[in-house]
Formats: sequence, C-alpha cells, structure tokens
Amino acid sequence: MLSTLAGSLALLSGPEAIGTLILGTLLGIVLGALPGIGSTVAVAIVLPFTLGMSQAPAILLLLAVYAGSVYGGSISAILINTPGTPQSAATTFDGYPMARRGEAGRALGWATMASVAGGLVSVLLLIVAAPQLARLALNFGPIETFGLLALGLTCIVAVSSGDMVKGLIAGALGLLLATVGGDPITGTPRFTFGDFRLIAGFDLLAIVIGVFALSEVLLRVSQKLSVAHEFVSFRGIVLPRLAEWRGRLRGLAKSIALGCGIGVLPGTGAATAAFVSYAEARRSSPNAANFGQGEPDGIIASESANNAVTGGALVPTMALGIPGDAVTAVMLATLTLHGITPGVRLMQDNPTLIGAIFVGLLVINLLLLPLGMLASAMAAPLLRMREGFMLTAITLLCFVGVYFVRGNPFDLWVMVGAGIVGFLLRRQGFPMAPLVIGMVLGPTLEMTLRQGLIITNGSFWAFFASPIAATLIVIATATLCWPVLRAGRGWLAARRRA
Amino acid sequence: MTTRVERAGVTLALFLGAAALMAGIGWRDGTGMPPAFAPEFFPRIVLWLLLGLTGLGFVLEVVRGGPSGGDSAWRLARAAVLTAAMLVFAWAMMRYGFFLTAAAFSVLALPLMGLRNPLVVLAFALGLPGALVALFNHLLIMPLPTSPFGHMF
Repeated sequence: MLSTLAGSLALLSGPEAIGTLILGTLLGIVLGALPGIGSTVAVAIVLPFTLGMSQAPAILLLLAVYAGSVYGGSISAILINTPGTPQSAATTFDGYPMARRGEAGRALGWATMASVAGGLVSVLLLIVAAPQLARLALNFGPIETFGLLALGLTCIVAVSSGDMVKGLIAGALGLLLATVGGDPITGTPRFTFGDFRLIAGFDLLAIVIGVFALSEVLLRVSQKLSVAHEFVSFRGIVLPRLAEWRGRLRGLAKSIALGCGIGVLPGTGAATAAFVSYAEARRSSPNAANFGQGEPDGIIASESANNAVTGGALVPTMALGIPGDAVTAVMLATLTLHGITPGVRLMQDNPTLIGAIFVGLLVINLLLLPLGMLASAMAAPLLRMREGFMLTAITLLCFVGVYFVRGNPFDLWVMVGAGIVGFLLRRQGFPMAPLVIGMVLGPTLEMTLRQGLIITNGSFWAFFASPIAATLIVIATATLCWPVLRAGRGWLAARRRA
Repeated sequence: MTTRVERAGVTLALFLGAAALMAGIGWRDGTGMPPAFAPEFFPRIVLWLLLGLTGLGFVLEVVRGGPSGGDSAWRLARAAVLTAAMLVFAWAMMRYGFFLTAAAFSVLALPLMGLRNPLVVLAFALGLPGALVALFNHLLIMPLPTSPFGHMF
C-alpha cells in the first residue's frame, strides 16, 4: 500500500507531471470558457498531444483539461451570459445578474470556491468507492464480464437523452466500426473491402476527433454564428470572505452530495446535476426569493454540483471500465490508446498509475483556485474573439493532432469522414457519445462473448447459469425496456384521456 | 433545424447501408463453424441489431410529425463548402505541406464564417499555421509535412 503510494507520488513529482497538471488545468479553464467548445471537444482536441507522453502525465493532462473545462464554463456564463459548457448553463441564472450589478469578480469568486469544494469532495468519493467496486468485480470471468459490458452498453440509453432509438443506433454503429479490421481470433479481414489500410481497423483517435470536434465545427457553421457578446466590466476574481459563507455551507454540502450521487450514475452528466442542484437550492435556500436576481446560493448550487460530477463519473469508469458520458468515453479511449485495457482489472493491474490519477485529481482541484484567478484574466479577452477564428483554429488543430500521432495520411481521411458522418447524424439528433462508447467497449464485448461461447460449448443459455451474469443481463434488458414501457404507458394514458 | 424528409432519409440510408453490409457477409452463417470461431458471427449480430433499430427509427420518423422548414440554404451551402475544403485540405496537406494548405484553408474558411477584413484574415491565415509549423517542425522537432518548395515550411 505504502510502496504503491510512494510510486504514485514519484510519478507525480517529475517536472513533466507537474508541468502537465498546471498547463492542463490552465488550458482546460480557457477552453471551457470559450462558448461552444465544451469539455468533450476540449478533451478531444488535447488527446492527440498526449500520445507522445508517458501514461501518467498523459491521463493527468486530460483529467486536468476535463476538470478545468467544467470550471471554465462558469467564466463565460458569468461574464457574457453564455455558458462555455452546458454544465454551466444554470450558473447564468444568478451569475450574470450579479455581473451586471458590477459584481462579476465576486460572482466568479463564489463559482471558484464552490467548484474547488465540489471537485475535492468528489475525488475523495472516487478514492473510497472505486477500489471497493473494483474489488467486487475482480472475480468476473468472461461470461460475467460480458454481462457487465452489456449493462455498460445500456448506459447508452441514459446518455441518449431525448431519443433512445437514435442513441441505440449510434451505439450499434460504434460496435460495427469496432468490428472493421482483422478478426481477433482467426485474423480474417472484416469489412476491409480489400484495402490493407483497414486491416488494423479504424484509428479510434481519428474517429473521436472527427465525430466530436470536426462535426462541431461543421454544425456551428451550418447554424447562425455569433458575432459579439455584451461584455460586463471585470477586474479579476474576488474570493468570498469567511463570514459570507455563514448560512450557505448546508446548501453547499447538499449540492456536492447531489453532484457526486448523480455523477456516479452512468449517463446523467454534469448538466443534469447542476440543474437538479439549482432547483433544490431554489426550493430550500433561506435566500430563495433572490434566486434569478444574482443570488450567490444559486452559483454555489450549480458550480459545486457540476464539479462534483467529475470525480463521481470516474467511479464506474475506473472501477468497471464503463464510461458514463462522452468525456469519460474519451478518457477510456485514451487509456486504450496508451496500451491500458480498461475494465475490471484496471485498478488491480495498474495500482501505481491509478494512485497517481487519484492524487493528481486532488492537486488539479486545488490548482483550480490559483489558476482560476489567472486563467479567468486570460480567458476574458478571448471571449471577445469572433467565433470564426476559434472554429478555424479548432479545425487546424484537429488536422495537426491526428497527423502528429502516427504520421499516417489515411487517418486524416478517416477523421474528415467521421466529421462528415458525425455532422449528418448530429443534425438529425443522433448523440455521438454512444458511438464512441460502442467503439471502445465493442472489442472486449465481442471477445468475452466468444470466449464465453467457447467455454460453454456454444450455449447461449449457459450465460444465465452464472447468477452474476444473469442478474447483469436482466438489469441491462430492464434498463432497455423501461423507457419503452414508460412511453407505452404514457401513450395509453393519453388515449384514455382522449 | 432539419426536416422530416431529411431525418427519415438519413435513417433510411443507415438501414440500406446495414442491409448492403449484411448482404456482403451473408444473411446467415454458411461456414458451418461453431459461432465462436466464425469471424462474421459478431458483426452479423450487430448488423441485425442495426437493421432492426434503423427500421424502427425510420418508421418513427415517418409517423412522427415535424417542422416542414429546414435550415437556410445559405448556411447549408456554407457547411458544404467547408466540408469540401476539409477534404481538399486532407488531400493537399501531404503534397504541398501543412503551412501552405493550412493558410489556403484559413483564407477560404474565415470569410465563410463571416470575417470580411482582408488584413485580419491574412494575418490569421499566415500567423496560426506559421506558429504551428514553428512549434512542431523547429521547436519540438516533430515535423508536419513540408512543401516541395522549401524545407522551412
């Protein structure tokens, strides 16, 4: 235990790791502050540049960008009434009115303190809960792992807020993309159409960047581009005094608990947590009457909950290899790209790395305080930048990033193709997170299914002989069927009323 | 905003694509191998799933009402031109180097996104690719493709 901790600290003490933590957090805050980029696109843009790094700094860079971008969204939410990320949408309700009163610095001060508190507590939850969950899953064989992955795939239902069928189609497309290339058992080429460049399958990174970042650029160009924002006066962050916290700590604790709880549930995400927490604070706060007019309790509720999700969402990702949302799906893709197999053995096989991630996350959340003050000053002038500059810069970075990793021109075609397909699908309301989840989980799902069939002499029913696998498959089926049943019940009720 | 025809069209295209792939590998396993050893076993399951889901999605799009008006033709044309520019960029980058193609791409993309000042466009189109080339080719020594006209860019 102590040697693992020492190893983890050693991983974090090198100049590469320290520089990564600082630069990643700064970059994350600035990218998160730019409206429309969001955590997923920010992580996708940075992802290719991690491939030349060693494992721990690479993962920490992405985690720093993730945590930084969730906080960074509050900067534009408060200064220009446009959330940099969807997670910060609820922050605009009270943050912008405060800024219009000339208290932008104070509003950002409340947001910073709440974000740091939410992030720190959620990392503690991750440190306590993830190993317990992983220990439970350690005895899983191929059949149980198949059940677990099937359950993980049903997270797609949760991620596909709005249209379950479209989410499932995107997930199936991801599974199909994962089958392109040589068969893992026999080596027979599948869906390669005689093109040798497809034997190794599609490059996951090119697909991730294409469907998230490049499709975002095309989508924004096909919509009305913003020209300029109304900008309030801002002269730096003003942290709240200790006395000002009186009467607000209970609300803070409640919001953090809500954020952590919602974060652990796959597919719910930080935006949901922020809105649920804001609604609860509005119901129970002693200052409820001031909500919507620049009440700090509203900012605390939204920002502490959305940052509390970051650690919570990593619990199923780290312990079980099940990504809960788009960002954690990209994180899992990163682990795969770095030669680490995500899944139930992740914590067992890489204890030093996992320890470094846990400690690194604590440091990142502490860094939000000083770096938030610095980065908000850096990001504020960027918010005046025209959207066209940002979108062109993102496109160039996508090309550089994908080329930089393998120097393979074919990956550029895959990225542009994925961008075009992503654009066409996203226009019709298909979510892209299930596609990436399908592509990440697909190879392991196939292997465990086929291994299970070899063990059981080709009997599908034997999968139900294992109580754990049977329970997981039944829960997965119920998760899939529940929205259909609910929709059917709603339809019947509507008919009865008519 | 997309029209019902567009949404149904995309779902139908996915259905037809899945059907074509399924026809390519055969609707049923003809190898006689145990499922675990048949290379097409898992893809066939996924394709059946995709066929079912896209079929259901198509029916839902047809049954479900939707707005009749779509996005303006100008905005869609803007996205189409940018898509074509990205394809040309991917093709030309290996032949003419990153700097020249990225600068040309930026000169085309920035006005498409509403930036009209030629000096600003030119400064950005030369500045950002130049900075990236300087960073990758000369500082990090991880070269991006260079042009046939000179090793510096």
